[in-house]
Amino acid sequence: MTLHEGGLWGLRVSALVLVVGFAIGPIAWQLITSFKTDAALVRLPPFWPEPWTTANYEAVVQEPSLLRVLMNTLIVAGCSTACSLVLGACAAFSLSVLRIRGAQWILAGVLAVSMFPPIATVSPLYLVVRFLGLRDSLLALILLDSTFALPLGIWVMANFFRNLPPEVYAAARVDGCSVSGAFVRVVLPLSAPGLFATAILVFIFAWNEFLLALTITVTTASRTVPVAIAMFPGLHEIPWGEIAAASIVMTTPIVVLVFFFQRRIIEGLTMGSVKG
Amino acid sequence: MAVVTLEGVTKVFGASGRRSAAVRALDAIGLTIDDGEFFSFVGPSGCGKSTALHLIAGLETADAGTIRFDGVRVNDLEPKDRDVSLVFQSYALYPHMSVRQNVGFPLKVRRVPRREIDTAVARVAASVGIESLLDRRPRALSGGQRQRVALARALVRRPRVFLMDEPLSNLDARLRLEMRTELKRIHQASPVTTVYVTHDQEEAMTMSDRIAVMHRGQLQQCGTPAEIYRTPANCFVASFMGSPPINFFKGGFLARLLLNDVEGVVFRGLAPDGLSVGLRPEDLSVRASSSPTAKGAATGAATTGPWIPGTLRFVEDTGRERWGDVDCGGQMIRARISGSVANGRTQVGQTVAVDIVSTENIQRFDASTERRLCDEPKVS
Ligand SMILES: Nc1ncnc2c1ncn2[C@@H]1O[C@H](COP(=O)(O)OP(=O)(O)OP(=O)(O)O)[C@@H](O)[C@H]1O
Ligand SMILES: [Mg+2]
Repeated sequence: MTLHEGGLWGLRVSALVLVVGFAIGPIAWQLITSFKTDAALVRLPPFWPEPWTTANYEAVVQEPSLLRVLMNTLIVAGCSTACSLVLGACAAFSLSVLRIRGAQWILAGVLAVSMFPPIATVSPLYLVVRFLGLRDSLLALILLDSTFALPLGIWVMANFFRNLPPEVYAAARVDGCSVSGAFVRVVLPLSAPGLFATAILVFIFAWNEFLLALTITVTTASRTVPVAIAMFPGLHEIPWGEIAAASIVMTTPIVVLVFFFQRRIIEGLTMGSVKG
Repeated sequence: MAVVTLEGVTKVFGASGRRSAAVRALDAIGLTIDDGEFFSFVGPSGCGKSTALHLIAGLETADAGTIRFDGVRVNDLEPKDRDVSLVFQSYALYPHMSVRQNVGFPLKVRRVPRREIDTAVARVAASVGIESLLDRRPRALSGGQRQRVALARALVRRPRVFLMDEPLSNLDARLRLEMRTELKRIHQASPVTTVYVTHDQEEAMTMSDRIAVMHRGQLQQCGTPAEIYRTPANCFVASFMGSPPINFFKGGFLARLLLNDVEGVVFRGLAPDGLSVGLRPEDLSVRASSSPTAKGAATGAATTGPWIPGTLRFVEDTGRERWGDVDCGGQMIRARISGSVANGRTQVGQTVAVDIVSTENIQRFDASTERRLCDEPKVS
């Protein structure tokens, strides 16, 4: 009995260590690397940075385009999130709560569209963007990122709306709300956790989006974080330490953001509305 | 205030999908609810009561038929334009609002000034007894408290029609009586047309001006409580209304009753086959009897009325009254146990006689159609 429990406990702990190691490992490695000197980088023992150095960070911070790139990414990710949240919420509402004929077919279509590998659409999209004269602009990135994030957003939010108690929406209608009034006053506030979840997913997607950003951006005027990190090696040999430091600096905002909103997602808001 | 008219209203769920899955929740319902009337729908679970309310409120669309308010067709009106208020069976409170905001919401949506909302909320909260809960969220309330909040949200406005879907189902017995009185008081103070749904037939009988009895989506009978009780239109209405439920006699047992010399009262010239006779338990009385056999004792009985011999099998004591289940040769009869017998002298297993105390309310139905037969049938 005790032996069995002990075995189970050991199993759990090793599973936990494995999962945590898998998730944290690369980030920890990156963090450690970012404090190593160029010379220490290529030797494995010692594992820890032998002389600790902040030179990499200094180099990153002194990089003149850093702020610009961060701001670009923030604007692109923020605006894309807002766009796909607004459009997606409206679409999801009509596809789930309003009884639209063929809603499941539309949803299936949305999913099918999102299955296209982005690489297949890059060149036509590039042509469209160039035709519109939006090359190297944040607007183009915002438009494209919103479009790519929309299917995911619609699916997540449609699922969320469908699981709200339908009587609550009905009650709002009887109490005098129009369809859109009930949507804004009742459905949206009740779906706050779902909206936050969607927002974070879209934000992360737009923050990390690489392929489109690489294709469309030319200068630092519209360069985003992933592209900027990839562009680092351009000068002499590959500066791994500085890349690591740049990754850390540029990922931190999003990690902070997720931690900040996490509580809102977990909170159950619908409790207490209907019987049992 | 409004006259609500339903004309052939039909609602079929799941019709677009597979045929077999379709449910006729409402089947050609036609009735008129008068201005200021307190009207109840009663019927067993799943008979379409909630569906009827949702159709009147405009939350569902009728597949056939017309709904009119004051003669004007409202089928295509949005719920908000019908000016009704609805107490949902499942309460449907807004979980992200406090009780105060919940109750005031219908007024707020209609842009009523803040001050008026506050007074209206205070008034209705006092009337349903939730003053102390106004600043809580719905999730911090008990079931009965939530139900009263739902009631308050409906009562805060003066709509054309009140729709209430089992609004007292989750309250304790005493509170339910209080709320019944309160609802009646509110209705009498300003008679707004009220459509009330309940499966508690006593509630329907005591509160309503008229009652509609439903079964499987079909309207069985519509009338005043007295009409429904005294002259039920069919076997279903007779058995659904009344507690304990009515006794039905038919076939061989009826033939034996004939031998027992009660035919003059019970049948009025009708042949027993093809007939189903209903007798309410309160019109029957259990009496101790010494003679076990029927035929000879019948005429020599102490009481003048007709009676049926049997064995007492089960006694149910409600405190106010005692009911006995009497086995009369295979047929169980539920009857009132009268005072003297109730004094402990009657025991389960004892031979008793069931007196037909009142012959006024004997119900006669066609055994095959289950429809009511005329009160004064022609003597054949
Ligand atoms: N949205 C729906 N989809 C499919 N069938 C439904 C739907 N709503 C109700 N029904 C069916 O319609 C019938 C009537 O339902 P309704 O809710 O009106 O019953 P009810 O009389 O209110 O019952 P209860 O006393 O249990 O509340 C039931 O058979 C039910 O299964
Ligand atoms: Mg119901």
